[in-house]
Amino acid sequence: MRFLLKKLVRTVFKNWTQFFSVFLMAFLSVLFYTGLEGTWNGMKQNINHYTTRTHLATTTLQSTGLSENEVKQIKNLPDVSKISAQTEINTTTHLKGSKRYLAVSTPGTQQLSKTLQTNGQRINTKVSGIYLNEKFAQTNGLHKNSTVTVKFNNQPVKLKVAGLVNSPDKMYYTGSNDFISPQNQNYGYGFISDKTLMNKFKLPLLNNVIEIKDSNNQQVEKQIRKLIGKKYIALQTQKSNVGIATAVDRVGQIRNISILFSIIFILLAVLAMYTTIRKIIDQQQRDMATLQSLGYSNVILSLYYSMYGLLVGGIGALVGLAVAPLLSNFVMASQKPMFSLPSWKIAYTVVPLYVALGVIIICVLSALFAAQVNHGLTPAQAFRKGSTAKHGKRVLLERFPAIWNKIPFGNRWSIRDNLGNKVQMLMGLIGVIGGLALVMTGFGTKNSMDNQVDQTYGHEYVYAKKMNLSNNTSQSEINRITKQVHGEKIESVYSSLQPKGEFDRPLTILDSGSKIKLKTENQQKIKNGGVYVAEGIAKTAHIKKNQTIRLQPSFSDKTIKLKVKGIIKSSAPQGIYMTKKTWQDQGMTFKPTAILTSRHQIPQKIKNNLAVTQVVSLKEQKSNAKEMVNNLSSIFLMIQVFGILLTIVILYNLGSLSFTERSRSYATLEILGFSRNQIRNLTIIENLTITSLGWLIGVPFGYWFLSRYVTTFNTSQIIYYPFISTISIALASIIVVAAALSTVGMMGSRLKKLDMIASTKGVE
Amino acid sequence: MLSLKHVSKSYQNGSEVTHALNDVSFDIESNQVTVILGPSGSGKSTTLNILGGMDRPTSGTVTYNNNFINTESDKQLTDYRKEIVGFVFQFYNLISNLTVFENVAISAQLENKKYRNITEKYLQKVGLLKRKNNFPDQLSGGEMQRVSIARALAKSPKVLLCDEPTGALDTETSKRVFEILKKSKSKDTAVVIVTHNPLVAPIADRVIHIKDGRVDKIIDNPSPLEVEEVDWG
Ligand SMILES: Nc1ncnc2c1ncn2[C@@H]1O[C@H](COP(=O)(O)OP(=O)(O)O)[C@@H](O)[C@H]1O
Ligand SMILES: [Mg+2]
Repeated sequence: MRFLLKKLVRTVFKNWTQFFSVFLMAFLSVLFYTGLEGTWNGMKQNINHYTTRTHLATTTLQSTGLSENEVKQIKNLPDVSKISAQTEINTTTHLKGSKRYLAVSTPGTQQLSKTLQTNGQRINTKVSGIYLNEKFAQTNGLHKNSTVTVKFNNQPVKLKVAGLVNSPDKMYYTGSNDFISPQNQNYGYGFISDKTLMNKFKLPLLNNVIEIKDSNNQQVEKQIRKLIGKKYIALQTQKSNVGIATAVDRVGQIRNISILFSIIFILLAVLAMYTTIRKIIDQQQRDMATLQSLGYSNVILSLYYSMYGLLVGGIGALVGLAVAPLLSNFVMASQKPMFSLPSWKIAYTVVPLYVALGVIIICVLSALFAAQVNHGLTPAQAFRKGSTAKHGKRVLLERFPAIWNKIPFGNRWSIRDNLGNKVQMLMGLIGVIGGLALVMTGFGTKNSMDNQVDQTYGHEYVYAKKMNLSNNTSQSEINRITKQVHGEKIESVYSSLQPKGEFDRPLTILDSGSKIKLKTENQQKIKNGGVYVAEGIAKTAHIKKNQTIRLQPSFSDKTIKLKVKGIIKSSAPQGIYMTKKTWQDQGMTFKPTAILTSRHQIPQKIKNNLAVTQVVSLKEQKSNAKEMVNNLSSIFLMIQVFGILLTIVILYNLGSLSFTERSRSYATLEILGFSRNQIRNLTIIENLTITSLGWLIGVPFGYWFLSRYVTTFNTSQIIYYPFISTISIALASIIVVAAALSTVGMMGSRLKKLDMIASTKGVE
Repeated sequence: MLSLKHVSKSYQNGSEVTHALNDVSFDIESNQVTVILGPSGSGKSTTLNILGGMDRPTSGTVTYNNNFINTESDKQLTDYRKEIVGFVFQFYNLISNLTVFENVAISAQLENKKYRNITEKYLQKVGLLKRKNNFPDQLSGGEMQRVSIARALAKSPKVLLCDEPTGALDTETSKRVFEILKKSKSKDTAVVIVTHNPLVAPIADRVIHIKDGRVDKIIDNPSPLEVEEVDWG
């Protein structure tokens, strides 16, 4: 084997461009999977470790406040094993010149969803100051022992910062339902002792937030509703709590990307390996036959050719494994600004080793498979195969002499050559289609997310400002403010949804509905006489139009039965909608929680009105939502880069394979008097044909792929609809076509170096 | 020692059948140079391939020291090629990305662990030891053919089969090649040279004339000439 190995290494070096593509495919598939696994698995481990260590509650009950007795009763429910009752109030503060919103809570028993200080220590539940969440403190320049003055009911309370903390149920903290990505500087949370609440805020223990550990969410929901009736607001599970679910969902999203794209790369590696080895073997027919005639057996020769797979695939896979931590850390770093986790260590399972092994095995097998062409041939037959010209094949086009006879001889040859070589053409097509699909997906995913943001904040929400109301504001006061700003009232609560609703969903009651313009699948507006459900919920709960569903809203002990009048085609938020009239017809009172207005300027008097807790502008909401999209940008960019690489590698590989094979024909054409330009034109026409064919298939395929792909980003709060702008399609096309044509340039420079004499010499 | 009996070979190409060989019988003896002579397309290469276990006859038998080799498995044929036969081709068939030394060594190591010495010995014999680190494309045609002979001899074959070994070479170079081949016969080794050039005949111990796939005549020559004595025209 010794000299065979030498031959192997020299062949690989001499044909390195061809092998490079195999190397790259093996490398990329292992790198992509392993790199992303390090991120998602690391995040998963960190989250698991964090939530276990802090005993994350399974459910959180929000209520208007409970008595000690009611708390006890909840604790004694059969499915509940542990609870921790807390009091949470919303305060404001003024930092760095702006108003900040701070949710202040008592620590409860600290047996569930334990809050930990940044150094890992538990918090002191009897502390006299306030613990602030890390990111809020940092972005506002606060640290241990600073003082902060918070306002509650317009009463200032001065507190010393006792330390910086993080809570496991707030790994992703937006601070307000009006925003979908974190605003660390504007929204924070803190913990004070029961005593501080009573002495400094002059409040009794309200027990309005109960952390629960239970064994059956739905059962507990029913029992609690029965127990506390109108005091019930909502029950959040780990799946519906944005603070937890977003982090967990992100793990799944990155995992989906890693699996999906690695599969594509592995498939292409197989293709590249097979065609490359196949070509090498074709070129080496004579060598193989010679070795056979010397007495090397077919088994040895097959083994020998499978070594190409082992060598090239093996190096690719190993380098992929070696480089992967860089990618893992890069993607991990992009997630840090969004989430609060105590650790950001990357972590791997053994799966990357299997993936690497799998890639190597696949490379070896496809090489072995490609090497079977000489199997069963006697050396004499193998020689003949190696020395005689390729079996000439006629193509379909020749049946149409009218067209065929008009084609110049040079092109006839290249057409025969291409159509006669289906694997090669298929490979070129797949390169263009695959590359285009990936680049389109890279652009399109961002487009789809941007489009979601534009749709929600601009087409569905068409107000300029949203004024959130404090919940004890009188109807007359609300009416007065509404009139002043020409506003429109909405009520946002939660509601359970039966059957199969899983957890409490946002329920919005619209007054007139002109500032929130939602449309059904059939482009209908929201009308009286029924309930509307957003598409994402309808899908997971299997709800169809005209079906009757049961709702149990917050602040109510009633169950209302309504027919589903339509499925709302909207990305976010995934909620339930009805008109004020429908609501009132069910005997419910309309208690607005916010006023929407088209006015951009809200009078200072209203802003200062205690009834208005906060004024949110659509513009802020929109730019905040964009941040969420930008956070994923590095991943989209990666997909695009990989897509472009893929196209170049496959097409270059292809060009270079056929170049070697045809150099003799090119030289012959040249000897016959064809100019180099004419020959180059042949390759350009050929390349253009494959590229345009690939483009024609690639655009619809790319869109289909995108539409599958964006759904992997769906969460229980947001679903995505595929959207790609014309500009993106154009850009993706230009990139891919340019990549495809750049390979012609590379061919051109090889054509220049083509040695007429050398390439015709040596073989009869 | 090597004999063909009633060997026929036909090729099927679609509906077209070519009868390349038709009932061919003859013997090859060691310590002899046998020349197979005939015009192009007469079936010489086909004969040689069958002798060398490179191809199987359609009918008839091939025996080596009374063992049938036409009925053997692929594995046994491979062993036969490995241990008994050495091949020299018209177009040398050197492996282009192995050096001269490696091209010979890849054959020598099949039979012998001490391939290094053997390789150098045969390169010395064909006068190319100095070029051992060159790649084939740096050699002339005659040099390449001498390497290919060294490669065949390095296995110490019992039968050296040469298909038009000088077909691509000029007269002077050809003489050098024939000299080496003629010297290669021994009491263990038979040399078989296929050619369409009748001028080669005088150097042979036995000449087998082939025409249209049949043996035309077999002439034994008790006193063959040296290569130098032949008038090469
Ligand atoms: N694989 C093959 N398929 C069809 N015909 C063949 C094949 N190999 C050889 N022949 C035919 O067999 C005949 C003898 O060929 P060959 O032995 O190569 O002749 P020579 O070596 O004497 O020139 C020729 O007519 C040739 O065309
Ligand atoms: Mg011949």
